[in-house]
Amino acid sequence: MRLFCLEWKRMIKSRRTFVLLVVALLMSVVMAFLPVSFESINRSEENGSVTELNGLSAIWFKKGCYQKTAGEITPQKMADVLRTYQYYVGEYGSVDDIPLDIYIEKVMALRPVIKGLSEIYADPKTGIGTDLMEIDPDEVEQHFYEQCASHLEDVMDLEQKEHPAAGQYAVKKYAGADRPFRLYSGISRDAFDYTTLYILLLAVLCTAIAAPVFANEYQNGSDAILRCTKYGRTRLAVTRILTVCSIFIVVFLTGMAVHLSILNAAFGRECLDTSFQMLFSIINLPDMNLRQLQIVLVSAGLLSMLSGTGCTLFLSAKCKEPLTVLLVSMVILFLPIFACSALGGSSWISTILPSSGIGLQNNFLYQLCNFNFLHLGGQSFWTPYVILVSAAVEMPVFLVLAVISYCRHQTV
Amino acid sequence: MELKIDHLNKQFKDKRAVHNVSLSLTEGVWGLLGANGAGKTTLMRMIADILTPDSGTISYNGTNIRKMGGAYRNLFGFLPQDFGYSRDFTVKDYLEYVAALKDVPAGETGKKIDYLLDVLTLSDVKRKKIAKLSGGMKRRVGIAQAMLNDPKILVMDEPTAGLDPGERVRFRNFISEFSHDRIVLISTHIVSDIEYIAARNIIMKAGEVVDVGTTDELVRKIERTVWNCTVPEKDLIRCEEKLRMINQRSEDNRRVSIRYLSETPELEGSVPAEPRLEDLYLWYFPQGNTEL
Repeated sequence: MRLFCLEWKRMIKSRRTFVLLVVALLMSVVMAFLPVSFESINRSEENGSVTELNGLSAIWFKKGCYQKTAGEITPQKMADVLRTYQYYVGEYGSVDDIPLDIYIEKVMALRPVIKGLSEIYADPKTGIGTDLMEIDPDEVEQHFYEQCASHLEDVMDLEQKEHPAAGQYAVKKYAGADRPFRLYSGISRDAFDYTTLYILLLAVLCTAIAAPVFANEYQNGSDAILRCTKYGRTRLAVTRILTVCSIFIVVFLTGMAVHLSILNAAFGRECLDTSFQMLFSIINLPDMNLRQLQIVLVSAGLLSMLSGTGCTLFLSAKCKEPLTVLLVSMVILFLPIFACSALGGSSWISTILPSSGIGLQNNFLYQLCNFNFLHLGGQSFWTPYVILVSAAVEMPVFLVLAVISYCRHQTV
Repeated sequence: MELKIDHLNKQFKDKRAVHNVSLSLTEGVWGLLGANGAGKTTLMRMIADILTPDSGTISYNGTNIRKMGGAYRNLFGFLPQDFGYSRDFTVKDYLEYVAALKDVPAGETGKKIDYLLDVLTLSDVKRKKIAKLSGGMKRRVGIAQAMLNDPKILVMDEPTAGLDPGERVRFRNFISEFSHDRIVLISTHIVSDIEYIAARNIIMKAGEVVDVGTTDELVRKIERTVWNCTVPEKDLIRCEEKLRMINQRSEDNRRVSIRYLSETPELEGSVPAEPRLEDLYLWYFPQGNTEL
């Protein structure tokens, strides 16, 4: 414990580490502020003028409008909302032609409810969505949730035709999603995008901190002294790894807590009761609401970041040049992003690397939103699980390899 | 107490760093002499167990040091040639950190650090960052860390590099007192540092131990090979070309007193001089003849 405390002190007193950690915490505020600042709406005033609202005032104004449709999304409610929508659009010809004051008062709150309808009534052969005006509200009232499941089967037939196991898994998983869905509009998808972006930023900063942990001492020769001491081998390596990981866990959780607290305070905590399917795609598989999604994103992000840190520490214990370690670690961190862009989200390389859950198109949120499966023999595996299992397995493996590499290092 | 080195070998690609070295180190100060590239540092690193020999063993009181592991390192203090440290460490923080690694009890650490800083005249810079200290001060911090655990085996590679003459004298006295009941191995180019305190000296050349003995035993081997002579100033260049000169000193009347190595007197008027360890060093390693 004494060594652990001294190692903490040593790490935190390093100016470079301190600056990077402060940046990590500051960015939690910035990355929460940005999606709030993107919120905007035009409000019609009594005198006929239009006022543009931005940021928090836009969010609060929208929340007032969305109150009307908040709650459980029963087929009955969905059909009623569709009827109302069709009435107003029919009255004015198109959504764009509805006067602003009427749109805001009568139509705006309907749209988050029915946005998934055109998707689930899409052409099963082409996947092209149906115009909301062409959907029969009575049909929605009778078969809304059955149609959701049916559309999922169509999508799986289109995307995973050669892998029926994937389709079966998806249908079974979707059947387990809690119904009726709930909707408390207000929070934007941008907020979740920025959360995943913040996780990527934290991973980059932590990689920069972890890269020189062992390599720096090889380079400046101080390890020759430390490894000659009684506890200078396994215990030092283990303590150092525990210190790095514990600092990162504290910073990650603190940063995420600040970031999410700001977002939730701005958008409203009641929004977090919204079902995953009502914010993203209505046929998405996860059985969770947005509050649970935030917890899952933080947990998966932390696991992926620690797995990536394990890989960086292993490289640091193996190489003599901190710069080489940093560059190789960054390549490994960004490789899933490039692999996802080049090969798509359903490639092993973009999912089994230590930090595969962190990135842009490949991030864990997007994997939850997609129907990416990896196939091995007759088995199909949904990519979010592959990412989690890979990270969970690789983290201890890399950390043990880091300890072994440090202990076996030769001071030449 | 015995540190036994048995047929130790280490090769780096095509460079034979240490070849078939066998030694038996007992209590006292041992001087390790050799030109650059002679294999001193490699030998010390193997004794420190931070470099694995290709073959051969090192044992402490009959037990292989690799098998002893932490128990051996607990008896060990090491100052490498290049004293590395984390840039953000203050002297106190660094010594506390090393003390924890050496399992010095937390209650004794403060006293131990204060004692060593006092002896090594570093008390005034206790809270300064090591990076901001002078070369000599950094070296003394390195010496302090090596002694934190009262090591039974103390290995120092060039400990006096960067120390001024006064600091070197204090270091020599400190090591002389400290070496009682301990094995102290010191490598240095500054022969005078170990001449007065080393009970025995080891001379290495091209990775091999070429001689071991007390200073008296070793210098006896070059008796009647060290000569003093006075020559006219104008002949000095010719003498430098012809002789293995150790030093020269200007005298009155445009004459120069020279000291040189030779098996026979080369100049008229040469008188035999009492050999010293430095003469022996130069006998084995002629000036400019480094082993790379």
